Amino acid sequence: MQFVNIYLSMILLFAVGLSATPLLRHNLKLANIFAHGIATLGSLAAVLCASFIFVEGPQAFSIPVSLPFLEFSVRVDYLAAYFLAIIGIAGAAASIYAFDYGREYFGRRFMVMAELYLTFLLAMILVVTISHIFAFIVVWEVMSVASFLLVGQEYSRPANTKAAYLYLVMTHVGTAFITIAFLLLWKTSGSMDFAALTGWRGDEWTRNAIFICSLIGFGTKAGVIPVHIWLPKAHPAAPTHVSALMSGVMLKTAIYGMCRFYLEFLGTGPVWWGELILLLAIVSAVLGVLYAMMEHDIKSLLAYSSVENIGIILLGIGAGMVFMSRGLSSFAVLAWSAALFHVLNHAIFKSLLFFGAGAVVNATHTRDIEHHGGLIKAMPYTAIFFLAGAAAISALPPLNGFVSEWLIFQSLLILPEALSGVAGKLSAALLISLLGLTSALAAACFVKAFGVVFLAKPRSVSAAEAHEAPCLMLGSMGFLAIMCLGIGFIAPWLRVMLQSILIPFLSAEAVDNMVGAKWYLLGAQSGSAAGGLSLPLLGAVFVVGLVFAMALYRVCGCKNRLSGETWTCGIVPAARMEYTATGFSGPIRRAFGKILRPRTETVINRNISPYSGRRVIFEVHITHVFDELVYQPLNRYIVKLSRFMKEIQTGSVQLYVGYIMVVTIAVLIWSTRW
Amino acid sequence: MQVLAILLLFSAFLLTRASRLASAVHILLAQSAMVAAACAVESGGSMHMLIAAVLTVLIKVGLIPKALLRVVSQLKREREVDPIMGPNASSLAAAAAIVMTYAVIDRTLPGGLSWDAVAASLALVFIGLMLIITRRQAIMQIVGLITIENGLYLLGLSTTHGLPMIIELGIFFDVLVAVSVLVILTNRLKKSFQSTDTSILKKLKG
Repeated sequence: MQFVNIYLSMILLFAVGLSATPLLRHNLKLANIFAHGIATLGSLAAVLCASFIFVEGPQAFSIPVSLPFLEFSVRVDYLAAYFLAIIGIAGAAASIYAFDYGREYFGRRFMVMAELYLTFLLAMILVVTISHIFAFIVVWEVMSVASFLLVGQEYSRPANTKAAYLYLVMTHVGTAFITIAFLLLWKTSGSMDFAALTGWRGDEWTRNAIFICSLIGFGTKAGVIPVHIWLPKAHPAAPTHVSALMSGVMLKTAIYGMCRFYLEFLGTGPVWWGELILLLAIVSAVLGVLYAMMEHDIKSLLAYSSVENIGIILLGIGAGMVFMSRGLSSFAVLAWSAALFHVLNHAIFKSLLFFGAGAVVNATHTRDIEHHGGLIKAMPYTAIFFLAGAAAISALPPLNGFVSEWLIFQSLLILPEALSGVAGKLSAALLISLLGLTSALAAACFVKAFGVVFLAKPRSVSAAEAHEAPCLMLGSMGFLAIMCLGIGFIAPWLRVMLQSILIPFLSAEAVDNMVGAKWYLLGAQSGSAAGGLSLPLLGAVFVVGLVFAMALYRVCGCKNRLSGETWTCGIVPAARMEYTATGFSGPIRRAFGKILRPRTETVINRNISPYSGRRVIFEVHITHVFDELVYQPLNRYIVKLSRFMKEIQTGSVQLYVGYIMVVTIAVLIWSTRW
Repeated sequence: MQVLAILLLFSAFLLTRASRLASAVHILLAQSAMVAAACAVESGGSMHMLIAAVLTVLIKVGLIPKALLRVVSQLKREREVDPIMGPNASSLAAAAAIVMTYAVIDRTLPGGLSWDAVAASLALVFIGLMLIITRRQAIMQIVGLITIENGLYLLGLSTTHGLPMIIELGIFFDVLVAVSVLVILTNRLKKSFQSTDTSILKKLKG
């Protein structure tokens, strides 16, 4: 079996899906099964491709197309295969989820959605496997446009179209910068093939320019603060299975781009590259989780949490780049592998959480968590899976999120060795404490999300009438929840694999130094610095503790069991007594008042009853720092400029032709070189 | 060829002075006929140039003026009453345009092939542009457009000695479509506003 055959049959599968789905437009049920079935199979084929690479080694082939600058050349090395596997796993889960979820959209442009979904998946697969500059930009653009159209799927709501256009503008700004970076590479190396760019060495100025352009370009796609503004608006607007893929996987294609540039094309750079990324990363992580904490829209909350997680991934990448510049390659291996590990984990638990949120929104028809509550009784399985995802994203052992965050902490703890001067060492220490803060806030955020959505009593009629999600939706959530647990346990093997990804880019002996960990121990050791983590041991401690506690309960626990309403001083407990999301996030809003600058609006209506009755409406809005500092002034400036430009548009035909004449005369005179 | 170039410039010059729409269309008709003649003269007996000349006669001397004259005959006030630039001023501007184009061509193509024809055709383009800018009546603007087109056609003719047949056909088709659209729009304008003054179109601006 050749790799080319597997790869091309995967593409063919998608092509069949794309071309045959429209034929089934008269039978939506069949179209749903067919399109999402193809998507599932295609995703599994992507996983197959990736595993083929991990077994047989990197593969490359190229099919010349008779067009200038265009060549269909594919090169799948370990790095690409890793991202391909992530796309495949998350894509398969999302497609299975879509079998049930897609039915929501029958009669609401379902066919368009199914077609775009297939295009989106295929474009992401191509983005990580194609190794030709021009073709890369083309498929990157296809991915962006397909996701833009999916964000605008429910275009009847003005907020959605607004979000979609904001996304379109931002992603094109990003693409422009990526194109500049690639063109600079092409101009100085003379090659359009990624493989030929590997050993590229340019002068200092070009390298810095490429670094900055690619950082802005891929950073925009990844949703790094301050170019994140599209993300929290666009992700909630899309259909849930697409939101999950956008948050879980599409952001990772940007990380893939960064890996290509900073590991392969640019290689080791000056220290300030890494430091700049660390700065952006920590700002994204802290602000992302703070905004997530303040959010009441469940999908926006998850989107902001994606900003935070991208920050955490970038912390690993930034630390890795600092280590590379300082020549500490074995630490660089640690940091990079931590970042790559978190890429996989975030793809899994963020998809899981989005699926859970989608099931909840489906059941209650609102995204506002203030209107949820008590759903654990109506939707027990969804609740359990969401809880698993929430625990994983809060980095609780023994789930997968814990392992990667622990590795990132390890690499940050070594960071003071690489940064020189008091300021450097202090800022490294600050970085560690801020990451700690981020993790704590993330835990608080998901306690809020789970508690307010699933616990206590329903706060609205629709929440009270909620029903459990259909079985395929539950199935895909269950699959991801099991992966959250499983990856935690196979972490040591996975880490060996991750380090093999890094062999081509960092020195091989550095990788060997780090690989020497046992199956039961996840360790980082180089010289005197060492850290170790054994999940099986932790699991064993947990199990032993559980058994001990149960035994203790059996032996001397009291057997009385009472059940009844919660005691509330003699009145019947009602949903209005519950902790609301606003109330829960209150202390944090106050503690970070300087950053969030909340504005509260209280409207008290005393006219309801002259004696006691009054109705209070309380609203809190937080201020988004970068909106106020960057985007609003920019917006005003653009409007002003457009007003100015409007002056030349008088509406007079004669004047318009006059412009043409002036230009013609100018060109004519210029042509004589007077 | 030189005589034809001079006659063409003269016709363009006359256009700047015409205020009755019907006479402007008649001058245009004569101008197109001269272009056709130039085409026939330049052909040197080659078949496809002759076809182009015949097509010019058919479309620019026959069809287009006929359609324009029909529109003009339906108008009540068929004069350019209040042009943005009066006949005297526009004649002066046309003279300036002729001087300028001859000067420019003298510098860029000194003593080149068909030097006269190139300069004259450029002058035609500019006079056409000027007609559009300085006249308010839609018919006069169409006349200006066809003058530009005649100039460009002549330019192509004098520099390349005949474009490939398919491109020539394309150009003719283009002109035909453009003029029919313009005539339809002029009719609409007349129906809606009882006038073909294009300054009404300013109201369209949002």
